[in-house]
Amino acid sequence: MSKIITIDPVTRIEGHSKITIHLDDQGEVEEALFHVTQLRGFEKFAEGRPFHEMPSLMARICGICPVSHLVASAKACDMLMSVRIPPTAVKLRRIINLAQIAQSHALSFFYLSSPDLLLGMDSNPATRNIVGVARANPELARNGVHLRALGQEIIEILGGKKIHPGWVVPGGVSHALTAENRDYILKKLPEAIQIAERTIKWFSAELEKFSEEIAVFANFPGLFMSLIGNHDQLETYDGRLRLADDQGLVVADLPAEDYKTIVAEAINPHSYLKSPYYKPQGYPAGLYRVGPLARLHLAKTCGTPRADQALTEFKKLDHKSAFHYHLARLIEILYAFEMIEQLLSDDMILDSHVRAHAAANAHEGFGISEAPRGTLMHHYKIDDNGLITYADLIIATGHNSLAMNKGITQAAKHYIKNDKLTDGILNRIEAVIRTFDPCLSCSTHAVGQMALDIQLIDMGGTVLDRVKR
Amino acid sequence: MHWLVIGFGNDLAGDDGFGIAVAEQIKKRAASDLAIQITTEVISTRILAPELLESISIADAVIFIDASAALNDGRPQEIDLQSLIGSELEYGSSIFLSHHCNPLALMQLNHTLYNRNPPAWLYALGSCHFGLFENLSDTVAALVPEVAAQIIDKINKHTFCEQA
Repeated sequence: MSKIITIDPVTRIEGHSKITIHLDDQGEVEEALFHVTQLRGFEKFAEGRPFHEMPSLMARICGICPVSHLVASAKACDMLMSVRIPPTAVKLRRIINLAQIAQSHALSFFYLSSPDLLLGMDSNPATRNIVGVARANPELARNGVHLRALGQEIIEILGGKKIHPGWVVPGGVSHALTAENRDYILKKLPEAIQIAERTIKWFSAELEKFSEEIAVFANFPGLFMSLIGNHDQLETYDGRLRLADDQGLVVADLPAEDYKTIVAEAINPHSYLKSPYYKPQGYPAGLYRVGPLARLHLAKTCGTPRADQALTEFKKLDHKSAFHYHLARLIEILYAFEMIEQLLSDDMILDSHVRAHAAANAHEGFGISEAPRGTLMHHYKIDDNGLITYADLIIATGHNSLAMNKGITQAAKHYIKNDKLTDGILNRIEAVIRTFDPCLSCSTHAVGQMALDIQLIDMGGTVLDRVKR
Repeated sequence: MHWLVIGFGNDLAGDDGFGIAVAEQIKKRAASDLAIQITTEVISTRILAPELLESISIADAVIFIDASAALNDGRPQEIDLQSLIGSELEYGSSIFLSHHCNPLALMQLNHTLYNRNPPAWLYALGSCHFGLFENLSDTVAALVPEVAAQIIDKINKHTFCEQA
């Protein structure tokens, strides 16, 4: 008799979802499914709006990574206007995108995942949270607060506010950086860089405690995709789109705007999340991963000295394991602050020419950038009046949809051995999802306590086991 | 003495924008009141997040302003948070969700992480309308200047007494 175990909601991620674990007649795990249970609908209600509204409208998709949508959307609008934006505007957009990556990664590692990593997957769920981390390791918690606060402060200085800034516009950015603000940010960076380096060192030494999780947390061969720079360096704003396998063999390398030639999207009845796949391998075999693990797997260098040192060590790890998203995130925090320092040290950064002006000159535009969670794609079509007739968004979390499902299936098969559930087992299955840091809808915040209610139900509807939190 | 005033709420959800409206009123007053300008940092924010600890940890006194669906009283209440801060640090997601939390949780974390326990108050207002509209209801809007004045008085009184 087949059975289903449901984890609803999945906790300590951005947004609302559930996991169902399907058992076969012998009680063995057959498959696990990650269900995204909310629908946003931005692609539809963008239709009919003027294209120049898109950056600020699309930024509302998310309260955690609005800057990523702002940047990808503005790039799509640049293409609709057929303009080449001023070089200083490119640098400023890069800075705000890097600040976004740093603050989002700090949230993921320090607030959401550090309770598992510091206190243990089997620790008491009542204390397995940021408050527990504060008690057990105040320095780690203070560091997390500091890194996230600095990333957000840089966004606020540049964009006017921490969440949903409107500074990145079609054609560039709305205003130039002042010398006073540049100097203020530059003063703050050395401490952040030191904290990121210290945390990388600490967490690298902790990895040996997680050998079992490394072995079964979405650890399987497959493809990785990200933007890549002209010299095969880490790239978060521009560059070519590359896919390679876990051994580093490149299977696709193309101009980013040609993504539709290799990426298609599938729809699953169990989830509102679309499942993109690599076309030549078909669905679902064309599974690939995006995000910090993919970016660092594909990049030969970061282009900043300290992050490059960390990358050398990172290259020795088994990148097939999603567990290494955590360390990749820390290295990207280090990279982000180092790169911001480099960009701010460029004399041109204070140039007042930061925006190109034009009306719509093309009917179709693509914008692609690297968001904290991976490659983000905005694709618009407009009519002769500049009104949106079509919008397709492929969000970073979507790219990882197939890998997340396969990953939780692998973990469930490893940990679930009979009808009995333990909190530690369920937390590990959730933790597989957390390694990907999915952002399902940050603009819809939960109210009240997020309960966890997992039920093991047989075919007749009888509850065989239940764990509540 | 360095004061920190944090007005929080969603200004797109009717009276939930009360805290932000009061904070903005105090900011306006600070523009023409040198004492407030020098002593007080005012923050308006949609949600309380742990990053606010960077400002809280260097404050000598903290005032939060909020509208709460959990309260029934339509008159602003002043709640002394400091008397609760010394209690055992509260665990559990009810006080600390993934990226937003409540005033007491922030003050408790401030105590745990930075070993500081400054006086802190919450000005809370109940009986509000939390619909999808941008303006405060007339009743709540009328309370904004009153609460802003109360807070400014408190800051001036404490600052004056300390100097005396």
